Amino acid sequence: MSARGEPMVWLMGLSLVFCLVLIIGLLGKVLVEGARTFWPRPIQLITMQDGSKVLGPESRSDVLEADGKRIPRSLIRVGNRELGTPFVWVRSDQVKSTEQPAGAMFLERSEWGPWIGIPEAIVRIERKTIDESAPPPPAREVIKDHPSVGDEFQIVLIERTIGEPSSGKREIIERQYLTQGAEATKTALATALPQAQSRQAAMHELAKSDLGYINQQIEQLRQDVRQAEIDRQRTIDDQREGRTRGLSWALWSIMLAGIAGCSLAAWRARPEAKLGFVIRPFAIAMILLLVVAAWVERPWLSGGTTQAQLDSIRTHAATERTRLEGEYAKVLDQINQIKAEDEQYRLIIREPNSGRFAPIRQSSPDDPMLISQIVRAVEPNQLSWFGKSRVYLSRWAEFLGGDPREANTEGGVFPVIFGTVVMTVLLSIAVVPLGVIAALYLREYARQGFVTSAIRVAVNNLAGVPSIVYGVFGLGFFCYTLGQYIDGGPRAEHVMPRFSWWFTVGGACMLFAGATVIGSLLRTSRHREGALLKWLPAIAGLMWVVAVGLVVKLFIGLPYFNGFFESKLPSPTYGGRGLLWGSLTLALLTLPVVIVATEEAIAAVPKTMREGSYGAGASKWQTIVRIVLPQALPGIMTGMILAMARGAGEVAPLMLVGAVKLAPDLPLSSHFPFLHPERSFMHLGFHIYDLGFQSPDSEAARPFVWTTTLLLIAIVLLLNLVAIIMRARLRARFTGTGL
Amino acid sequence: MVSSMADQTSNIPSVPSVTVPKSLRMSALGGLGAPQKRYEIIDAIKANQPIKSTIDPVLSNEEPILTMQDFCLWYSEKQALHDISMPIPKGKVTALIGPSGCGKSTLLRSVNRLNDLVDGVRIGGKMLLSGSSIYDHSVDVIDLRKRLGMVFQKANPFPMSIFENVVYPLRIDGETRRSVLEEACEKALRGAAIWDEVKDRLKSSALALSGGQQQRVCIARAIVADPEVLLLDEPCSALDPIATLRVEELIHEISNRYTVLIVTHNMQQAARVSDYTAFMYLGRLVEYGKTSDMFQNPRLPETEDYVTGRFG
Repeated sequence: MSARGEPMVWLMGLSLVFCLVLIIGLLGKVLVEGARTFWPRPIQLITMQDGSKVLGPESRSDVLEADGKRIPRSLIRVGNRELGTPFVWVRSDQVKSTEQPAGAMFLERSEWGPWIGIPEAIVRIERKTIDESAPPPPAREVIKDHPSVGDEFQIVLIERTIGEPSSGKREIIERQYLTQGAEATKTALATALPQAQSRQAAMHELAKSDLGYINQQIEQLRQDVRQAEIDRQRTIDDQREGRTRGLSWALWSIMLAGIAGCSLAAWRARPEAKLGFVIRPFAIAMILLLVVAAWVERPWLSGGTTQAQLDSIRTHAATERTRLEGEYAKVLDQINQIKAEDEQYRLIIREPNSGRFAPIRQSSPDDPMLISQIVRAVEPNQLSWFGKSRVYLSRWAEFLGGDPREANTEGGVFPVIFGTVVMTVLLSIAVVPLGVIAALYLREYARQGFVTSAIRVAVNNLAGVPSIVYGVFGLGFFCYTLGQYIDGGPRAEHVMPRFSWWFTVGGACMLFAGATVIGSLLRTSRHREGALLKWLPAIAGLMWVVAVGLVVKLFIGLPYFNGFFESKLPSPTYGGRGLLWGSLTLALLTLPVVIVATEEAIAAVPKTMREGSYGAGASKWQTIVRIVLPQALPGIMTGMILAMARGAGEVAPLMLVGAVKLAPDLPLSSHFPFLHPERSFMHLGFHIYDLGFQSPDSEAARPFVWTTTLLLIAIVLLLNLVAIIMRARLRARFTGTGL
Repeated sequence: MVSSMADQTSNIPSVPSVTVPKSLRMSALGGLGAPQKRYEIIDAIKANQPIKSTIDPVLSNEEPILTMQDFCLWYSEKQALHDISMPIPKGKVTALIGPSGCGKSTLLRSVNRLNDLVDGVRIGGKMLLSGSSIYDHSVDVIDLRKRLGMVFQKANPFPMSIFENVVYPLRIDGETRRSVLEEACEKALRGAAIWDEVKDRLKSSALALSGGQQQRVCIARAIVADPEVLLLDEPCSALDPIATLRVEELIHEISNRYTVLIVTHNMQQAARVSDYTAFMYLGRLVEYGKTSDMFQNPRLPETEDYVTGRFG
């Protein structure tokens, strides 16, 4: 038995089973816990032996060891945070009776978490002032001849709070009862709630869209003025420091001379002469470059912004601002009108223990809550299975499509899903071309030797670098270096004087040209030998490196660029944490995965295929594009899938470079430029961490952690599935079976 | 050329076995218990001394399309071909035979410069295609390969449709006119004697074909652009006997339209399909002459013993 290795076989089987159990157990737990979060649970009314009452659904239960006995206890979610803790432990030995009251209602509110109680009435609040001399109306009045309020409701009872007289007037707050009793209230709520919610939506839309747009325009005006001021200041500085047009004209004439010289060279170049074939393209490239340079340098433009221009911009901005502020006031007026109507309709829902009803806010406990504060009213004790399913589905719909509320512990996660998906897509868009091109060069073009081996080892090691390191790098390089460069241009101390800048441009061009000429020399003299030829590749490589270094220096010292968002400074645009930088950081993180997968896929393309293609007269590029890449595509897709799965689930670097607890806006808007990759975003992985560990009410957030985890797993699965299906289709297309 | 031939033959002192009549069966039997013969040329090769190739003067009467002059090739430090000088006659089938590792395939791949793809390859001497050097600096390798067709040991259809496989050389040349491509495809497939078998499924994958069919599709691909020389690198070694027969018939058929240079391990195949045969050993050309002479009446004992299976 041992000779045949059977104990080892069993051991191996067992370890596989162990791994499977762990994975399936994890997924199963997530699935079960995540799926049941939204199922409405029955509300229990527990009367304790001391006479106090607890009303609410059971959240979870366990067994308490006390006085040598094992006492079962359960955690009841009593909600009603205005009154005290929202969760209460109930020991079974202290319970007198338990019932499930039919009228109990679970209200999901837009603020302060759920309220659990028995609905009593819908009231309409009206404030009136009467003269001091007039007799005060009765405090309570049963209305016989029910006057109607709108189409649906009638006033059945009026309660009045009569204020003390002051300055000759007396304020009366009328509480007009439109319904009385649980049953009637419940029926009326079915009509009143949608009305209140549509009012709420209208206000929200006005505030978010119209006011937001007006604010954005006002901000744009402020930036225009600021930009003009900056330009004016720059002009004044230039004049004071004597940056005359003379130097500019000198530079300009050199550029024009260069254009003329290059044109002559391009015109007179003989392609058949030695190296003649490189002269013309180079000359043309230089002409293009010099034309751009001459356009940038335009000496007649160095006059800058005059005081008159600045003043006219200021005047224009001031008038526009007045107009916009008028519009703002109008919209605000509209909102206030809706709000005034909305604030009339209230719901009185009482909690049995203290007898208090849900207040409009914690500081005014005698003012009943607005109907529009209700997100969803559920009566789980009266719901059939079908009704519960509807509630369940509507909660899922809100979860998937809504915005988060209450420090993320309630409401939806739509911005989170959106942020995760957009980030993952951006990440793949960034990482796949980069990784594939790098792998292609490494495998197909670079000469295999010590350097390529070293690069390969380095790439493999990069895959093992802790992800937080990438986060630190991303924050330092992308956000603070690159982002601030985009925002405000190069830093003042690095800016080069114009003359030396153009001098460096010329140097870099010559290095590039030299390296290219050496490269083509090497290509045409493949079968020659000589000591110089041995060193030429190294020299050409060095020239490339120096030239690239010079280009970087040119960017750092660019004297013509002052940033794209100069007028917004000091508040950062790209210079802070954002979606783009998060995606790029994760692209960097997943680059090794793509490079390794692509390299393997390319290496797996049979040599006979390449030779067949070369033998048919294909160039290397044609062979790569037509034979190698199509065959390697499934492998490349595998790399992309791995990269996406890793990127979508990564949290640590995102905490540094862009993911936030609550993003004020989606990275997508209806105003130009529509996609805003500079905005911070929400991410499911970070959201789970935030819910589980940063939430003010961890007991309430707990089920949401499970559901969000389930969602993250589902999204990663979905993204992978899409990629896998794409891969299967490509594979079928490129490896035969049916074209 | 004739005078040099005389020199070469005079360099070989005594070749008694040349006159001995032979048949495959007899020599196979004789080879079993025969004492180890001394092969002067082989010994010289093994001692790394320069040798003179024995080349039939008849060849100088043929118009050469491809000429090698003292062609040498090194893989890094290792020399794989030593001073190969041979003309390949135009419009004929020339077979390269020799034991494994003798450089037949290397020589064949030198013709369309496929060896350029291997790192560290250097060459010496000359190779002329229609009078102009293949290894000149001004030669565009891509253009050169377009003038030559090549079929490999293992059928290597691309993972595309049969049609796309056959017209691949035209496609990479930038040909996009459907009518031209279809016409060329049919012509090539007819030339490769496979048109009737695949004409109804040109759009299906070439990988679904049998091995013999795949190899004929590869031949169609090699001839679609009307090459000056067709290079066949052991085209039948991975095929079953019936497919081999069909491919051999095909080689025979196309030999009146193209110059064919074929590498083979199979003596009978060389004898059946070729007009001229060259025997190579350890990177040297040993003997080169008419196929009938090479198999019936070779000038060197080495050749005789190799073709009869007693050596190598």
